[in-house]
Amino acid sequence: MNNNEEDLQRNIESGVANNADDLDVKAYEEVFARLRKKPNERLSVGFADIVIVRIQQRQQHNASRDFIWLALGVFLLTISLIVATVLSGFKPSFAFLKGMSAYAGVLAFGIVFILLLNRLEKKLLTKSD
Amino acid sequence: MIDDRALVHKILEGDIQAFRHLISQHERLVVHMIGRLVKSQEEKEELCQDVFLKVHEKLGEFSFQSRLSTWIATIAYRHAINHLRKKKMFFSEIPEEKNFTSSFVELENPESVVTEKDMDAFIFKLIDELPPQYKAVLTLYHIEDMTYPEICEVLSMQEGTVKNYLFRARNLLKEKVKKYLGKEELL
Repeated sequence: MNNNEEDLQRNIESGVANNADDLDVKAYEEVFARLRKKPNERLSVGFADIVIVRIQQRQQHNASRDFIWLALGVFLLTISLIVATVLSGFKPSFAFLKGMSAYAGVLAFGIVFILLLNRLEKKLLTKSD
Repeated sequence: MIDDRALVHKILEGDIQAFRHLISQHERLVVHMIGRLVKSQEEKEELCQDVFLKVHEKLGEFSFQSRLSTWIATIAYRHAINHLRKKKMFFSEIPEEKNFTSSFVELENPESVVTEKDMDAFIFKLIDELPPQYKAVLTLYHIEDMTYPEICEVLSMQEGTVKNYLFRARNLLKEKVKKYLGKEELL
């Protein structure tokens, strides 16, 4: 960088008086005056509305895409379960439920405990935000 | 006026009116950034929409390490530059100083001869002819009043490079205007 030019730019920018007859000074003053002018760029009147409509469309599109993936996943899992059951000759037995019924209180406590833990975690996360 | 943190929090909670507020706060910044780099009004409008869509999509990743406006300007600049690259428009490293300076100053642009009567139009036309990196630095510094560290963050450049581009851009414009003023004085 040329030091004189740099000083000249700095002086004009900070409004320090320069030799106004100097052509360099005049030219810089013209340039700086235009650089500070805000461009007359405008967006359409409904710009924000258009953006918001596009966001909502995208959210809807994402939601239906997620639903399709979920449905596809459930469908494939069900098919796999059926195929695996048929091929392995597996016979489901629910005898374990009988054993668990003796501990209904413990099970209820477990469910309530997990729900409370979830709620507490959400509250703590919101606070740390 | 809502501060950035509260505004972002509201938007992340799904408040669409808060996002509308963010758009109205920052649309001038975005249109200044995009407008200096892209000329077609249609493309400009679409790119500005894309920038705000990206802002909405990535807002959860904003970590308040900088001002929200700096982060939005960064997205706008990158989006415009990617657009220029995709369209294979002129976007390369800054041309070699000596060659570019002489060609820029000597070039007699017929359009500029027509508009030279109007100094505003003349200088704005000259700014349009500068490389995109120079235009971005000029916009952020003179129009958006950003500090050097903020400009460095938006453009991913070293402070020395930003200062150098600012100096060179203003010097190029001055040389061209000086040439015109010199001619005018002779008349």
